[in-house]
Amino acid sequence: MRWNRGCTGRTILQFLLLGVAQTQVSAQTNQLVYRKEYAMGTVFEIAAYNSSPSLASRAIGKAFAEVIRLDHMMSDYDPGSDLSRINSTAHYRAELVPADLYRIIQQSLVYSKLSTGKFDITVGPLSRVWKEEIRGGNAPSAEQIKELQKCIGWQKVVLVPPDRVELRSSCMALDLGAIGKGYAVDQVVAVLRSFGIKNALINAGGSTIYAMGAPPGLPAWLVHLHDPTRKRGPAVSLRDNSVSTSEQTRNPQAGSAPFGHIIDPVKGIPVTTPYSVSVVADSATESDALSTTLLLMGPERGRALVRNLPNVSAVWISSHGSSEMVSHGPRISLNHPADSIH
Amino acid sequence: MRSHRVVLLSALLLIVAAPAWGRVFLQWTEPGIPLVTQIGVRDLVVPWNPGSVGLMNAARNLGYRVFAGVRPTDAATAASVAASNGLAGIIVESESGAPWSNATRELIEKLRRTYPKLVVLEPGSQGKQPQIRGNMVVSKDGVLVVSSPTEQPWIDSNVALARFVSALQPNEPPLLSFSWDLIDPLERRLGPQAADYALAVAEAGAMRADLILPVHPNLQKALADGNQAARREWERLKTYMHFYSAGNMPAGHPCADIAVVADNYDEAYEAMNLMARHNILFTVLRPSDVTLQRLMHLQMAIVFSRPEEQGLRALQAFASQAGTVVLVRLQGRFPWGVLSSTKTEAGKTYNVDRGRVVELSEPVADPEAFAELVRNLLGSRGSLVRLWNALTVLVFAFREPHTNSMELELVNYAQQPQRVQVRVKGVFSKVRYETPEHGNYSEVRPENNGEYTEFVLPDLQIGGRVYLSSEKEKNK
Repeated sequence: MRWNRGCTGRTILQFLLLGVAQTQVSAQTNQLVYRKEYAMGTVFEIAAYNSSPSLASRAIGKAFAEVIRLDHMMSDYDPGSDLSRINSTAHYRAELVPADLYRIIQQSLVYSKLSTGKFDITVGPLSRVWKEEIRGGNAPSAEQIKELQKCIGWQKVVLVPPDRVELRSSCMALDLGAIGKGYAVDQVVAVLRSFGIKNALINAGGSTIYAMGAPPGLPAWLVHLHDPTRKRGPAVSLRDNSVSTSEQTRNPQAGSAPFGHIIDPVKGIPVTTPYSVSVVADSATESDALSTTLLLMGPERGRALVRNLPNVSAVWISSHGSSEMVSHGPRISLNHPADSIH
Repeated sequence: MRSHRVVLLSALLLIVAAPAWGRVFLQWTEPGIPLVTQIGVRDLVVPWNPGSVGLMNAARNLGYRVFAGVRPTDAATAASVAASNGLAGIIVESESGAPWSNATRELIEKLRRTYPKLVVLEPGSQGKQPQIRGNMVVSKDGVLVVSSPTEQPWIDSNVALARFVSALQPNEPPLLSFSWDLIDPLERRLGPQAADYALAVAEAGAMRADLILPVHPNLQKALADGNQAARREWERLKTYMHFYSAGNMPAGHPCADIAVVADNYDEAYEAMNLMARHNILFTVLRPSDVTLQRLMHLQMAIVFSRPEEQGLRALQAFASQAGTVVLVRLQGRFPWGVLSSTKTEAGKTYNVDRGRVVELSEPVADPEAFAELVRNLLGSRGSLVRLWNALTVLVFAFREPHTNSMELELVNYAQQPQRVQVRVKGVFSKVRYETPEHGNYSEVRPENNGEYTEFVLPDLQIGGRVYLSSEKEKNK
């Protein structure tokens, strides 16, 4: 029984009952335990196979508690989050931040450097104004965009080891939307492993999925990839690696004006692209960050980037039906039957 | 028309007198039964079978009002046994997917005539467990998952069902029933979480519906055995049942932006479900109930089933007074057919004085796109209530008779505390917020923005209620 799903997962009564259940099922092996939890604006799901479902259930409860903790830390909606705090107080002042926040900003800057600024967590001020358009408000003016672009730039984020962050722009605000879920998924994996869970699938709202081990009797987890054409049937087999998918928000008004949640920090406007990008990588942080990066870069420049990254594969599928693939890791296959389950 | 008339007209156009609601029937199957004082609910539903009469009598002896839950085929026998054993009534399960099949209705009417002292109820149709749904498909063969752009959380709600049943039986609250959707073997063995029970109670209460709440056998045993942890959690659930009981709820009448005109549940279901998901407030009218008076305080009518001539004239009059009428693939001639029209990809649009009639030539193929179309036709400033930062929250609005006061009921299907931003059409100077967990919040400050009132609810975990009033009203 639980009231606040974010705290400890199942509480006292269920543990009492779990004791009974555990003895009943101890003879069976590799039972599936599935749980879901709302966090970071979407549904996190974990499906784990283990000989002890009660252990798996407890591990999942701890993992969800970790996601909720990270959500409270990285949320830009929550005025009380650590991210909101540094967005209002770390301008020209090195502020103390939790270790996770320090680490995620540090990793973000790696992808900014790799992509020469296409991936940029300082895009916050621009994200805010373009989100208003998605909510039905007006798009920002060219002057407004120009002004806001002065606030951004990943080079203006200074990390002061071991645990301080300084923003060297008076109007800078960090937005971890393009990497936060991936980081949270990697933390879930760490929690599950600490409980001895070896075979599990973690899904953060569909956009980032990590596969631990494989389902019983199978070599890997089969994950279908988003296909805007519904004709290509892309899929990938995952085992101890991750896939993330990015696509620009569709404009319900079907207009040609820039629209969407993925902002090109160089141009200051939402990227207009026909592509959906899926990226396979060793960690969820990496796949999450790269899927946004490669959507912004497009297939031509993106392929050059992927060629320098070990164990990374990517596929761009356009709404017109064309696809481009680059692989330095797990093979993404096309023409996979859409309804197949391993 | 619209905003300035809303207040006056809605007070005059109350559809029915408010019935009693918020009643929870506990579905009980295990032989051990706790005392009524511990459970705090007097109505028990015991599934009917030849061996369950003993359990029903034992429950009755403990002071419960006992209802037999029966299939239509067993209803006549069960009614006879119930009447002779002093049971409170029978609840006839619907066997068809759509609510209120004619055969079941006839059966119920016959039983009510035969046993006038016996309460005979029907839940209408099997509903869904209220919940946020995941994206993985977990089956006996494994797990199917698709990597996609971040999916918005999908809500499984009973709004469409409750609204449709309310149209069919306007003088009684809808009675909802559902089965728990427990996916893995462990969860099936242990049962749902306490918060799942609370959410089901909150959803039904927020819609002013009654609820048959299935109590998992594990929990039944734990409560009957006096398990302290189970009792503690049940006490917390009781605060929900108390919060949503008729005596504690305001007597406002539901208000909406849209009327859905339908007599075929299946035909209109997907569109209604998606409108509910998008927090588009709607009411359902049977085609025979379409009158100008019933439409007057609304913004739009979406017509799935063709009304008679009088109803069509009412729709035209509604459109002429700045209303929007959307006809979904209805055939035949219409009174506005003589007016000039504009052809679009989706059909034809007629300008009818200050309003319009949109005739869609195809059925609703993509309910999500249809809900977006409805939202666009309403306009960004047209809705009675809008929420932000609330992807998992549904809202229901009620207006107090003869006053300018309103209530909102909010249900958070994610069961995670959220800070919700609300905009309500109308100028209110006082906003009071209460939840089952917290009681009254000390301060929710409204901001008036033109013809709207905006405010932020500090913490919505599962259910919450907002009372809106104006200074003028308060001083009356």
